[in-house]
Amino acid sequence: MSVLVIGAGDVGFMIAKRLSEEDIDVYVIEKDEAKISRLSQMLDVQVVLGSGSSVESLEKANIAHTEMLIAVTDSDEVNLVASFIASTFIDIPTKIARVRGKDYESAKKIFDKEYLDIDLIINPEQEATKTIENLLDIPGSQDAILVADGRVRMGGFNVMRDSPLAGRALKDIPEITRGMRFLIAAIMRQGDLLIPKGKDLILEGDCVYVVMDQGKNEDILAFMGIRKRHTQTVMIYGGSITGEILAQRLEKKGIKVKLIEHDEARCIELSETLTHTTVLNSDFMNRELLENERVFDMDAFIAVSYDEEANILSSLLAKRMGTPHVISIVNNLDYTSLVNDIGVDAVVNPRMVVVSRILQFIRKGKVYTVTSLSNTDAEVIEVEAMETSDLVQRPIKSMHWPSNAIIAGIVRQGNGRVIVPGGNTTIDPGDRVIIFAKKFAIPTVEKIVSVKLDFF
Amino acid sequence: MNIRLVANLLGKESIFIGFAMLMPLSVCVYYGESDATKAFVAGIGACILTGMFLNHFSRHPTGDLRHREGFLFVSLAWTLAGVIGAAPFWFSGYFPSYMDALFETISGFTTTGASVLTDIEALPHGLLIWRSLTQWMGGMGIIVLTIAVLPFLKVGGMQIFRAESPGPTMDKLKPRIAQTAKLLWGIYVGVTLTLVLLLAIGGMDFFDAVCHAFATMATGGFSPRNTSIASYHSVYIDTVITIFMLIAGVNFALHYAGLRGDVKRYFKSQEFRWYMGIFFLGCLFILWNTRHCFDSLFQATQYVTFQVASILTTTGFATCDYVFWPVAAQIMLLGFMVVGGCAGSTAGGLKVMRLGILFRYAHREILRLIHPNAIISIKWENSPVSQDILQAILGFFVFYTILFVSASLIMGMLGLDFVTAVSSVIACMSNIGPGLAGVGPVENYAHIPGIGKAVLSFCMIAGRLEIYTVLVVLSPAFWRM
Repeated sequence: MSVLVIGAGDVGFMIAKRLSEEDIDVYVIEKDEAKISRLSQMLDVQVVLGSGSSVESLEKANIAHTEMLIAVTDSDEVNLVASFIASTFIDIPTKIARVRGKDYESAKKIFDKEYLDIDLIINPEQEATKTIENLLDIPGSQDAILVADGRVRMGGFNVMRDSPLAGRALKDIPEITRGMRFLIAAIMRQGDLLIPKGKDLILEGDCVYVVMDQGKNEDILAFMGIRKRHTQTVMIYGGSITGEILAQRLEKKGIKVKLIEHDEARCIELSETLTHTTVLNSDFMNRELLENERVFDMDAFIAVSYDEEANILSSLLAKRMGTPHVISIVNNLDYTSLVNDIGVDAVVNPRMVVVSRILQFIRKGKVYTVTSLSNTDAEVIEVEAMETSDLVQRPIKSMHWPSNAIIAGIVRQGNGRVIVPGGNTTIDPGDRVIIFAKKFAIPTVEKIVSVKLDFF
Repeated sequence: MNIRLVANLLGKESIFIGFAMLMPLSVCVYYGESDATKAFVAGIGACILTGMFLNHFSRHPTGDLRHREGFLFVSLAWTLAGVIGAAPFWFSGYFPSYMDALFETISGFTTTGASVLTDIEALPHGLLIWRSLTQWMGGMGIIVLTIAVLPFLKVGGMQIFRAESPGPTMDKLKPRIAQTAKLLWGIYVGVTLTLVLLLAIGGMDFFDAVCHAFATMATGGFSPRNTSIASYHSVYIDTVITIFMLIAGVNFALHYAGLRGDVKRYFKSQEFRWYMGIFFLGCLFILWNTRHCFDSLFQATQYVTFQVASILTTTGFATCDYVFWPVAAQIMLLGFMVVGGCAGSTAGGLKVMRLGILFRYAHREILRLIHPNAIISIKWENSPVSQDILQAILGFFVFYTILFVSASLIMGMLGLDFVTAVSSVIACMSNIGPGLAGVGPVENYAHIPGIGKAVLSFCMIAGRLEIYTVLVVLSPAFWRM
């Protein structure tokens, strides 16, 4: 099993790290010497110094025996040329390329089987936009994971001091929810993911992952102390590509959007492409502007400018002024958890989003989706319950289930009803089972579901 | 500094060395040597106790092996290997003091081949094979071997591997370190077996063949015979060993390419061409210089090629006493002691590649004086040498010189004569074994005072780990928080 990663930026690095930890031979091509030496110091992978679009360096990286190419350099053209070489000279079965240029958007045909034959085109801006939309669908959420085509969702909520959950043991929760089906699948505490057991306490500052279906889940939101209103008005800070795509998509959903951008020329451009969005031009972020535009009446504030610090600071300002749901894009991995701590509801790291999208794509077998939780070693896995596996025809509590994994949801075969499982729930063959598992519990989970969770 | 993790790894290393002693133990049992058997049983016990002791105090280590821990681990692992590997020698009673046993073991693991024994043949077979086995294990690297056979030693990056492997750069033949380590050891084992077979065909006793094959492939130089290879008086054996010493001195990455059918790679390699060039020119010079010492040209060629190969590859076998050669020939040999073999081989010394790059660097300085505005890049193996590598090599050369001068000074203070003091330090730093004068090929290190043995042991480890690894650990900045 051998994978070739082109580009050792953040995305390439994280993918190489994950794959090399799973007994896959990883080759990495990178043209920057400093990045190469850092990579070879830290990871057990083969590095090649050179350009990803040169046949010579591809050959050095054993391309003839590679089963998968993942081209994630900053340059679309290098990624495309590498994929082109991979599909014309050597027939590599799977090819993934990061392409962000708008020019290619209108010419998607070139990625087809007859031409470049790329299996997955990944666009960081679009992926980030999708993630933001998912977050907006669950008001107040810090993280949102969609499984089973979005029929099951895990909303990650920050536990505030006044939350009804703070200080409670997990086993006491049924009393306070008064019969409502409410399952906490996992708790994120200081960057560590815990699979909670009955006696575990929920602490202030935790992020709890609550299982939800595709509806509005008003009862759950109300219980969590979040206003019931669905997202209807949004303010976007930053007229970046992400900002533009996001505004377009929100417009289509009928959401009212206000967009702030500092560059006047870009504002004019945006006002031409966007139809219902109010484009605001302001040199810098200030309180007066936010007050005039009634940021406190907005359902959400999303900072997506190219300036990372401005994103963080403007989000904090909006939060203080009373916007209930504040989301910020942060590219620096080390900042991500920090920003959550200082009060921004949700942080989207486009690079992490790309990494988890790629990992999800290359998992094989009867696994439908695998979503890597941002910066932890846990995964959400969705598998089909097989007739032969130990999952079916017995109540969940009688399974030998590992303590670091939990069945978070079941989608019934046939009617597609989503069930939040309890101890007495049984699983039928053909159901889709959603499992939340820490990385080292995955081998045990594999055994029970009798599916190998291998990569491709 | 994650001391716990380092201690845990050292514990495993220790148990591993205990397992390696099973081979000499079974040899003892086979030859019915009861005293030596007891020494090895006690030795294995010591290794396992040390290992369990270290592991007991470092259970469940957390965190990763970062490069600081890597340096510390590698330095300590080699020291520990010497300390506990000396146990059977010490228990056997054949060595007058523990320092002597330690010197012999470190000389073994570092593939030096300097011995304190006066009558080697008096030793039981078990101890003889353990001497050779330490060399064979140390040749390709104790840690590389551990990585190859013990999968739980999951090291993240290259630092440990690099800290132990000879040469300024490191070729990773396969994407994973464990695979690379296995591959290198596979080639090593294969060539060693071939050599055992060839020596046995030449009439060498099977036990001796194994010992000599171990010592040759590791470029070590320990022999179970008092008069080393000379005791066989065989042109065939001399020739076979000359060829295999030269093979062991070549980068194993080239052997890997060669075994896969790409024989041209040898001649494309600049380092290989330089290495063979130095060998042939050296032989020609010494042949001319020693023309009055031998009866016939054939005999001269037999002895001179063997001796030059033995010194250049830092093996240290001897078929004749070159102390009686003309001074010019001896100085030539002293020069070869410093040169050593190729990077990525089992040989010691400065390495041909480093010298080649240093030579190019010096040449560039001259060109720059002639053409002040010229931009000249230094190339090696047809590709430019990066500034980092160049600086590392220059620094290496400086530290090598400093260590050489200070160690020679100490040896001089201990009352050794000039040539003995200087050549013993060079012979130990380059992991050769025999030097000149008082430590020449028919002499040994028994007469060196205890402090001198300790200094030389340090030189052997510093030379084997290419100085930086050891000096880094000894520098105060390393321990500062």
